[in-house]
Amino acid sequence: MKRLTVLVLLAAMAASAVACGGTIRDNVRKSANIAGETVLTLDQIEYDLHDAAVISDNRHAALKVPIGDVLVKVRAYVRVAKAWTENADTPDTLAEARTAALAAISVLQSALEGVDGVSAITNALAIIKAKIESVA
Amino acid sequence: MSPSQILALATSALSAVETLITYIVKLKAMAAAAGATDAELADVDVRLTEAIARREAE
Repeated sequence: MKRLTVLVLLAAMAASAVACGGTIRDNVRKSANIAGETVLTLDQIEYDLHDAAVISDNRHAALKVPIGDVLVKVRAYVRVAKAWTENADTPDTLAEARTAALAAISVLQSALEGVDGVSAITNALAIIKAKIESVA
Repeated sequence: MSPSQILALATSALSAVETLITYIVKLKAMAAAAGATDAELADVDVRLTEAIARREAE
């Protein structure tokens, strides 16, 4: 599992490097797509690790709200990116959506501090954060 | 722990690995794209909404 998460990080670094080209709109939409897919992966892995008894019942219950909040805030970011039509100005709601998503990620990162066996999730959070911050 | 319980745990662990591999393949494709289409973002929106509903239903 650790080797796989390293692969994920390498792939994310490659994705970040590619994100340098294109318009700001292109990069925001790309970052939203990657953030969305990554949080969906994180969500599924948390269920899998709970089923595999790597994450306890109590921990799983404690993660319900912070993971749910990251899902909601990243979805809001995806929606702002999707609504951004070609040649339009930067949406007023973009900065707010970014800030809210990053705040939710920080809360979840805090909830996972010191928990063993969740590197796949913490690495996924780092990817989402980096992608959203990369288009500031 | 019974053999069936061990098998169930191993299956769940393999499922996590499968999820990661699928994600890596997707990530490579997304990294190669110039942006994201409306259809891709709409699809992510729908699946995020489903994931939120699953969390809330617990």
